[in-house]
Amino acid sequence: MDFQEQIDRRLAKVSLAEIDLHDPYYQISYGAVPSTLIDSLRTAGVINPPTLQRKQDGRWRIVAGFRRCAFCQEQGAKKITAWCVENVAPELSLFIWAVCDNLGVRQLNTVECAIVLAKLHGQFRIPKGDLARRYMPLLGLGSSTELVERYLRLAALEEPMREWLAEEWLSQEAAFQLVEMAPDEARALFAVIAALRLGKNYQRELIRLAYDVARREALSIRELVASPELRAAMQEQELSPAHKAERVLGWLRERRFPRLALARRRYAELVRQLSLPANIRLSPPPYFEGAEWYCQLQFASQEELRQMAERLQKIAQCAELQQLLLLP
Amino acid sequence: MPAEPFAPRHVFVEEEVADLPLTKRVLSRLPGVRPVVLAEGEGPPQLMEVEAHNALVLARQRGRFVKRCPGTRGYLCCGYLNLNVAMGCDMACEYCILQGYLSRPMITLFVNTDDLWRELDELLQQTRRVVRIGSGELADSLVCDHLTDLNGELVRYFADQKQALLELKTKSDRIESLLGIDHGRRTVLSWSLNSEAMRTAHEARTAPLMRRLEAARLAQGAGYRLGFHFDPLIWYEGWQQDYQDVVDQLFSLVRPENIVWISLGALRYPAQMDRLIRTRYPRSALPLGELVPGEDGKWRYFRPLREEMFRWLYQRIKRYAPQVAVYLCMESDQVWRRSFGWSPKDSAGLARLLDQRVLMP
Repeated sequence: MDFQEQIDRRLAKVSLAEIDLHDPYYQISYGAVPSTLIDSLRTAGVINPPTLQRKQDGRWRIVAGFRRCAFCQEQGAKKITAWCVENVAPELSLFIWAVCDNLGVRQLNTVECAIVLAKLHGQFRIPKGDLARRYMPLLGLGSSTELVERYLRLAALEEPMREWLAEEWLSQEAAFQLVEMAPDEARALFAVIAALRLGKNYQRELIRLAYDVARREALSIRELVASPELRAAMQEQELSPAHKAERVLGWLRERRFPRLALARRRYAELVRQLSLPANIRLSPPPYFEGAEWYCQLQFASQEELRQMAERLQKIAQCAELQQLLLLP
Repeated sequence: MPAEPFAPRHVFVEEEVADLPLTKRVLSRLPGVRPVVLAEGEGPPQLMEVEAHNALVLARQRGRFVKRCPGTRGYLCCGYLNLNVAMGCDMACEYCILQGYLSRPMITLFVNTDDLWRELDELLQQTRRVVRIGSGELADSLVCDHLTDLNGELVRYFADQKQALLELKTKSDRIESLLGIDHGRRTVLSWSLNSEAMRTAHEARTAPLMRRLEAARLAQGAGYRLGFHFDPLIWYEGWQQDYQDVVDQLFSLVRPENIVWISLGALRYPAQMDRLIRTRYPRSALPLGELVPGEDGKWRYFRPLREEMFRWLYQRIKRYAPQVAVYLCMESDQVWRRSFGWSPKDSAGLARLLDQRVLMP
């Protein structure tokens, strides 16, 4: 049977009081209502009628058009024109109808995709393999069962992480990692992300560092986040969120790579003892891997270069330089 | 090691190799498996990972069987030749770089052995240089031996070579089929060694340390020369005592004069492996080490950690076996000097050092 023929519907004016606005059975929309939708509704009213299904108690369940119905109610309307489904239409078909109704006008955000897949799997018993083959492409996602698994787990993400993900303030990767953690650990880390307003790269780094440090030191992430050093960095009144983020991440990097941090501190100390002028810069090989050091010179004249050469000659004799080159 | 030898449940045979003798031999040893013939250009189907680990592909080696070890930028390479007769492994070591290199987890066996012998003939007749060659790079050397008997043929082939040494490298203990063969001491049976704690944690499907060492003792009794590879060395709380135990156990069973070489290598892997290990083995402690990008982009322990491990093991090994060639796999001149107090300077120097071992009787 043709998809549309399965759904016998008629256009009718329905009292808003008869519509159960809080029945989430078919609901997939999540996140802030786009301003373009509000503008459109304010300008021209409901052009595309919502779809409703008669429930056993006689009230109407929204299949598609939650935001439209809510808008009309907020505006004080008594009735709304809607597509009404009277028959016992296959619920899965109605759900797909709802998904396609949305996909026809906009892209679903990550949380909405997760909701769709979770409902298909949990509510409509669609196996994961079918989700990957048939429904992931419909949502514009790669058809892999691994990805399906990840999205199904994302559907369990708590607020306000969910909202951050829908708004794309939280990266998908960070969300996937947070949802894998124990809820209290995820909440503790998310609190840092939110307080420092971390960008996506920093989110990834924070989660990885915190996870690794906690495992290396047999701590819980909650205990790590509660460390006095981290709390102090976050509560520093004088610092901007960006500076706080640098301080927090720097502290975590040192805990994660203690010997590298020690070598870098020793390097900084020896360079300080060398008293290099500002226009001569020494750098070790990256991560002290390899034997070649870098020396950067900045000069504006032949005379300046000559003076630097003299200075370099003196530096080359220094015991500190010898120690520096033996690092780490 | 898996309790049983690799016993594939799925066998895929490229049509063009279906009639080759080695194909027939392998299939005759898998009577319960119905092979699927792959038409020209057709690859094996995508299998769920757990099934793919139970699959064997019999294929034509379309490239060269013999390839020079690619080495790695910025580090000394010994100039070893890889003999690629198989690809893939069923031991599932957490750190195994094959996970990242190979697009499918099934084992592929290259059965066009006529080409293999021709290539070896050409290599050994044309070159005047010493050849060190081994099949343990893309697979455990013994993984399919019970299906192929190919190692026996290789051992016999190399028995008469004066300038070449074949190395069969394994983490298993299944060497029985090699013990009665006339090898002319031109084959080195080698074992990768790790502490039993690390084997249990990260190489769960390999033979326990003592079984590997017992196999080495048997190989010694059969007159083989032996090699050992402490690779990958893993930094963890208590590594000194555990690796000391390995060294002690090794030299309680094996005489130093039968050891051709011992290599040391610390845990290292390409950057993309980090994610792979974390995904496949979420409880693995390997990625939690103090690993940083090396000159070649691979992740390695921060240099002082590597140097400490190398120095420590070098000294322990040398106490038992002052004459044995101990070398570092893929390390810089700087690390050699700081760890051993000397260095072969460059890749050519390292190759010369190991070539001398080949020429010894």
